[in-house]
Amino acid sequence: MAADFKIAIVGSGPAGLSAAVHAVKLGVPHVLFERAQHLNDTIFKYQKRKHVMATPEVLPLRSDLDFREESREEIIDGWTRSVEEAKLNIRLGVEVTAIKGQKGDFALTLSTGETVSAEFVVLAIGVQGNLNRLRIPGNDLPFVQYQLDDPDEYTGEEIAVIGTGDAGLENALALAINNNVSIINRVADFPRAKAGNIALIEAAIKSGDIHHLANCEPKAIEAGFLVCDTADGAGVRLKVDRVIARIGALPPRRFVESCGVVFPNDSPTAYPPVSETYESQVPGLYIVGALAGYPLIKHCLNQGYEVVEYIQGNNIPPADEPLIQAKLDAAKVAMSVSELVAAVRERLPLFANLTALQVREFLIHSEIHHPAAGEIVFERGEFANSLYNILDGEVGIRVNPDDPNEMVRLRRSEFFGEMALISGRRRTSTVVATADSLLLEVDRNTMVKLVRSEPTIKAGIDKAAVVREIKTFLMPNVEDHVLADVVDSSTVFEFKPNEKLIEEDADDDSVYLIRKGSVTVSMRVGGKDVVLAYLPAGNYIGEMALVTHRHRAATVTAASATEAIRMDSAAFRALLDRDPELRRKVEEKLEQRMIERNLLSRNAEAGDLIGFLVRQGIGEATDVLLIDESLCVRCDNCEKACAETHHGVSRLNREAGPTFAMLHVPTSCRHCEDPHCMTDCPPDAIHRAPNGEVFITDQCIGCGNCERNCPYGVIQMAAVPQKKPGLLSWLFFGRGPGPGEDKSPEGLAHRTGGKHAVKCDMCKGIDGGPACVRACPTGAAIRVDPAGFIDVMRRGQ
Amino acid sequence: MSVSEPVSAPGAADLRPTRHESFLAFDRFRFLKWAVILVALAIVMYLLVRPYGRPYGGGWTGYTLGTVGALLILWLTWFGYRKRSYTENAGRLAARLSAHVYLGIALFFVATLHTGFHFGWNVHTLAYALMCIVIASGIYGVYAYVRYPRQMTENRESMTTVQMLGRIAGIDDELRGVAMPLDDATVAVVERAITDTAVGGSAWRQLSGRYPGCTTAMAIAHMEAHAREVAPANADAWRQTRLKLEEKGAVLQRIRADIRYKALMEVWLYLHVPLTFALLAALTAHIISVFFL
Amino acid sequence: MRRSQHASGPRIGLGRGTDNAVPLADIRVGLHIAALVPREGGIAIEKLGSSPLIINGDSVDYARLNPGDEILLGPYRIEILPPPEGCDGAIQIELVQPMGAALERLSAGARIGLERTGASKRIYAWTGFVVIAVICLAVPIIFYSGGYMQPWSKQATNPKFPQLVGLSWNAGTFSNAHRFFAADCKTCHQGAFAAIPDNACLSCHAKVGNHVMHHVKLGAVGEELASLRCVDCHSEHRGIEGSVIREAHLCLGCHRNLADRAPAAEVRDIGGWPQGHPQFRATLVADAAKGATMRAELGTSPPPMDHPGIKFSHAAHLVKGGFPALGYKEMACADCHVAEPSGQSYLPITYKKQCESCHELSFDKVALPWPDAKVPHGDDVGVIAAVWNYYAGLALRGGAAAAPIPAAAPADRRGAGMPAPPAAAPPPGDTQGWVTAKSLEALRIVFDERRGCAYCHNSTAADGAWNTDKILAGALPPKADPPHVVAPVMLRTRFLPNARFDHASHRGMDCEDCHASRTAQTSGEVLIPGVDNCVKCHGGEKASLQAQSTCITCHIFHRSEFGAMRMTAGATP
Repeated sequence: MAADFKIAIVGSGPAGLSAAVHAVKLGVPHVLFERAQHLNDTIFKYQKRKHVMATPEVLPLRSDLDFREESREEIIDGWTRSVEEAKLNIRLGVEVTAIKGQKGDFALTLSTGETVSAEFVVLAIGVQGNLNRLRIPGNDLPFVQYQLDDPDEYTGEEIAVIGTGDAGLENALALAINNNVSIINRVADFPRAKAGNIALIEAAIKSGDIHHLANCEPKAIEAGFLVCDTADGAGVRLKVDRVIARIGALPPRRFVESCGVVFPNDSPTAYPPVSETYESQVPGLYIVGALAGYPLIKHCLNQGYEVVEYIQGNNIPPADEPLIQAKLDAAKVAMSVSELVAAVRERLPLFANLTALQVREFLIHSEIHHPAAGEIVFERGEFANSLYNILDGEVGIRVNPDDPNEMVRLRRSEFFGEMALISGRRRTSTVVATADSLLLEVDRNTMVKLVRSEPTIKAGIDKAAVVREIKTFLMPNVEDHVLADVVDSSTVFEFKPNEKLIEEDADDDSVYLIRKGSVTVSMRVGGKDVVLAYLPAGNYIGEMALVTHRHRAATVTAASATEAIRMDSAAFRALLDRDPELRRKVEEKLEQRMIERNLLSRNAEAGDLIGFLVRQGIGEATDVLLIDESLCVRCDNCEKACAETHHGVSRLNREAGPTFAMLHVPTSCRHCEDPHCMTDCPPDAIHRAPNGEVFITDQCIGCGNCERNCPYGVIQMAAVPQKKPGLLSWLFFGRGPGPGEDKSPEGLAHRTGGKHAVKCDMCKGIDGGPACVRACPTGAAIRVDPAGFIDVMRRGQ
Repeated sequence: MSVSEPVSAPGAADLRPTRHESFLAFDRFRFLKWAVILVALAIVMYLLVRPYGRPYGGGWTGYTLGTVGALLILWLTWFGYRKRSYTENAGRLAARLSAHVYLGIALFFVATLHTGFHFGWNVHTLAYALMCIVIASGIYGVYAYVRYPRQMTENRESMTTVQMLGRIAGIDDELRGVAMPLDDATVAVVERAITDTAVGGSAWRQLSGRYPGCTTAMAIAHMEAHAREVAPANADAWRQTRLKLEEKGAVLQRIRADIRYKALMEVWLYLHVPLTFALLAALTAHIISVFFL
Repeated sequence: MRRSQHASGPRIGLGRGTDNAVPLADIRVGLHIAALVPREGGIAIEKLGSSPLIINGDSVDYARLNPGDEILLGPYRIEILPPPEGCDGAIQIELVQPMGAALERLSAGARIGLERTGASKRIYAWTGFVVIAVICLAVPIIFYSGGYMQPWSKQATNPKFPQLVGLSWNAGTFSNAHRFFAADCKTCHQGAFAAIPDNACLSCHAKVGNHVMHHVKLGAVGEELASLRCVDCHSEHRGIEGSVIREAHLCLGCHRNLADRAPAAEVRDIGGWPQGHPQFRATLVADAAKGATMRAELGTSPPPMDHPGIKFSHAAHLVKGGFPALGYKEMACADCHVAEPSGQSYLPITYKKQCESCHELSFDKVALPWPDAKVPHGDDVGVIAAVWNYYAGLALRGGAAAAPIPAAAPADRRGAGMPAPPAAAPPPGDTQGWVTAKSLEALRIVFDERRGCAYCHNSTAADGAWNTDKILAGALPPKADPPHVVAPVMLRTRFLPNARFDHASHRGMDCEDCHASRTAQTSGEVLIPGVDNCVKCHGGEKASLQAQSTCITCHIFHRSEFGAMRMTAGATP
């Protein structure tokens, strides 16, 4: 029997809508099911006037729906119009409850009870599809809602917000402006929220703008009241005009599985695997959009278009094909994209488990290099931006900076550059191609995402990294097999800031090799912790106990998010016995450290200085502005210079920030090793330049995530400044705002355009170095990198 | 180098200083040396190459010294522009200031020799006098820049101006509460202390840090005077109000001191800059008058 | 924030105090400011304390309240509402002037930073610039162009504006000489941006002397000289001491190496003073008969000799103990050397003034009936006739008879080659013979080298010796145009004509400090001291322990004897 439709599309998000519209274009009989009463629920639920961006920029849009960076409203209007023109066959307010059958004959059961048949099914239901609802009585009362379109709609109400994820906190903060907001928290703190949001909410609670009910469990909702249990058992009966519950949304896994699709693993973030044509294991059942692991609107639109083409049997190349091809051509590699994709999957074990689609996905953000023998790949001292994979050929790592010929060689299917990628510091050695090679350079942010999502990749990198790190930092010229036991017995530990690696007087004696972040060594002197030393990544610690067979002499604390390799003491000791040369080195170092410590333990001042600087985040900084307040005359020329060189907005606040021993750390970017601001940038607009500058590109959409995420409050949202007249005409006639003078509200009033995140970019692209330092008339302002911190810290002694 | 030392930028030979260095000591007193050499040359020239008659600013020496002096003045004046032109890469401003200071002082000697110690009631001496005042004010500036920053920091205890104002505002709000039950007379003075709090103001106030008729001080004085007449019921409120006022007084003192230091570091510019321009006019008149007639 | 409450009681107090029935929690209101009291079925309000109570615009102490009334009480506005059931009255209180947020108020009130005090560097700078540019630049130029500019004068008790303007540009004090016309800058400053032209000076100083004789051809040096402008050596506004620049550079510029650059000038190179100045060259008499002079360098050995043609010994005259005839008083320089009125130099030495008083030319002292039996000085040709005439006159008066000549003539007085005297005395009555004899006798004395001409003078003979008999042979009776017998004499009054030595300014000194006269035996010895004598006291132009001396201390630039410096007044170089 013939099916009712050729294609049944479930979900009218960007993917589904795009598919439907294209189906109309190709004249394919189709039906589009949307559970909500209106199309395109996803975008509909965006907060009002949300500025939606069209990323990835590079990816060409292929869809019958128009889409560019614009506001939520514009997008909705645009699509509504094209949908009307297209005359889709839409079933609004209808939920598909089950999908049975196989290719050519699927049976879709609808919430209305009826059943529809289709040859192909396109699942485009995304992950936002089903928001979790409260499971308590009264969860469907009219004043209970599960999302918030426009916080400005409500004023003067008593509102209870349930859910302490980012969504909940953001809503609460937005509403608190015009309403009395209480936030209902099962626990006392906010474990599931971004640091930025936590900071904001805690401030709001402190100032009394938001009422925080900790350890409080919603029990029931009655007309005008929210009833909760409290820890003390007394319970509360909260008078509310409105309840907003933001308790997350999960992929409708059960439903998808019920369709016969099998998920690769149990992680809640896992996506159903799909072929290059978006076909799931169930033939004829296609999965596109967020559910297939593509949250970006542009991807969804493209896939909606492509899936229909595939179903029609036209094997069009994916949208990113030309992009990747271009990269190949640029590198003068005679290879087709599919060959490349294949090569990556076969030759690079690291990426073995990635689907072809995922590979294509990160290839867009990767570079292909084709260095001839002898060509330098990267220089020691550059900042890490990427991981290199050897598709072909051979490279040599110059392990000894002084002798270019002393090299460790890597061949096909190995990778390099991961150490700097992990530590976030400068490259520790130069890498040169020793044969004509084909290298795949994967961009840092992409790599970080991959590492986060794919445990196998993380494991793979770590395994190799540990060996190399031990070799580089401890014993460059030792055969791998010598190290074998040490490596096997060693494990990587991650430490949060202020977490202790080693406790004074503990009697463990394993040795730690810091590979990321930095630590401080402190000692209790007269009941007071005296900081003795600051050790950045690349140092090993704990050898003292090992060599002297005594208890731990000092406490080692992570100064920032730190990763350290713990080497088993027995194995390490064995190694020392085998390698007298290494033992000598270790003992020398020990000697020298003993001396430094004795010096320092007598000079608490210096220790305090280190402690202070570490508290100011120098531990994770790669470049920080330090002002000597005994020289600073408060002329604010640094701020003016910054504003002048950066569209009239100063990226640093000279006055703010703490001072210790005349050393002032103003509010200005530290260019962290692992920048907090980068962690959650929707348009991926924050990057790190080869010289280490962390900067924000024009792709910024002003979402403010980075501003919230930065623990040092150095990012601000600012608009484009007004045009300014020449300096002389200000000097002589006072025309227009003077240098750095339009920070005033009036100045800001003149500004135009939407706000964007701005931060210090270390005057990247301005030769002569950072303007703030150049413009300091008294030499009070300097920028120092980790090499310099040590210097500054010694100042105390 | 050991690999465990942090790797710094390749070819880190950019002009980024790695340690704090006062503009006075810039580059091991490079510009002080220059200045000394300049002055030495000027003196030697003055002594060796005498013009006919007594030195009078003319002749080989006179014109050389004069030209050098005039060029110096122009170059020093240009500092005002250079200081604010941030975009062009003209090295560190600290270097420029260092040169500005030392060559500025050198200018005094050059110009003095140029006068040949002839002074009179004319535009020539006027220009010289103006120059001297400008240089003198500049020297005060250096003094201020060396002396006050440290004191300022010590006074602030890493509080920003806004924070201090905020603190005061906070105390004001608290005062409103605690003073409520007190008698009308006291409340009146407290209210005044709250509503008109003098922070900054006239140049004299900012420079002296003295605020005659400070409402807070008056309020404290009032409470001092009427301490006996407190109704026992209000004793507690009285004590708290008193404490708050004292606290406010302390913060006020701190912010006022801060303002004072800032003013002391600024005020000389109000002499330095305008007189520089007066000097430019006088200099022009001097040069023209010399060659005009 | 609306709250409604019900209050009852005989009087309902309003105020800050918590004991009020209606507490007003704002510290701007008094503890008790007013009270509501019931009044025949309605309510009235009465004022308590000092703060004003304003009802419908006018301040009252007590008033009955009707619905719709409005009371202003500090920051509160109280409206009277129609009383609901069972109430005497109803009021609605609202805070109409809420207390502004403290921080805003503070930050608004705080004026931090000097720029907030209204002081503006820019405005001050412009003011200063403009004021000075106008007063010291524009105005003077205008005044100058208009010719109003006047120099400042201390005498002016209340200075005029033009003078102030002049003062502002005046470069220095005027030299005394130029003050009389300094009243008008344009006298010298004839154009803008132009140095003082020579004719500005020549208009007065037309006759200023030239430096070299016009006919001397100096070549390049000459052109240099011609190209000199007055202001090169004379500069004004240097104070009252004058506008002449005395520095040696000026002269040495040319004179350091003039010998080879301009031989025609016949001058030696001068290195400077005192070092580098060559020995003086005195102008001496080469040959008195011919009147020829010569320049001889002083201080040579043998020392240069003068040839004045006279026998004179300073030493003999300045002999110790003096002369009996003068009462044994020693002679002094001043006895003979008489300063000219200016005192700069000395009057010429003459027989009449200096010699005659001691050395009179008398003959025949033996028996003179009248005193003036003298031969004229300076007229050697007339001497013989004068003696003859004397004895002839004596004879006419019978002198011959009265004093016959003794027969025997002293033989020893006969020299070789002498004409034999008359063998015998002339017979009495032979008057001519007598006169001749007498004259011969006298003339022998006149030409005598002890008492006569020969004492000081040379004869005209080649060797200058005196051969009396030869002279007298056939000389009597006198003939027409007899021969000269005394060689001519030539005495110089200035020995260093190119320098200018002022004896007056050295008057304080002793002559012998410079002139070694006591040892000078002959008239040939030159008593002019050499340069080494001057440098004892005269140092260079910057000497501190000697008299500061420059070229023009002794040498004159403008030599009027050479004619005018510039051909015609107004001729520009």
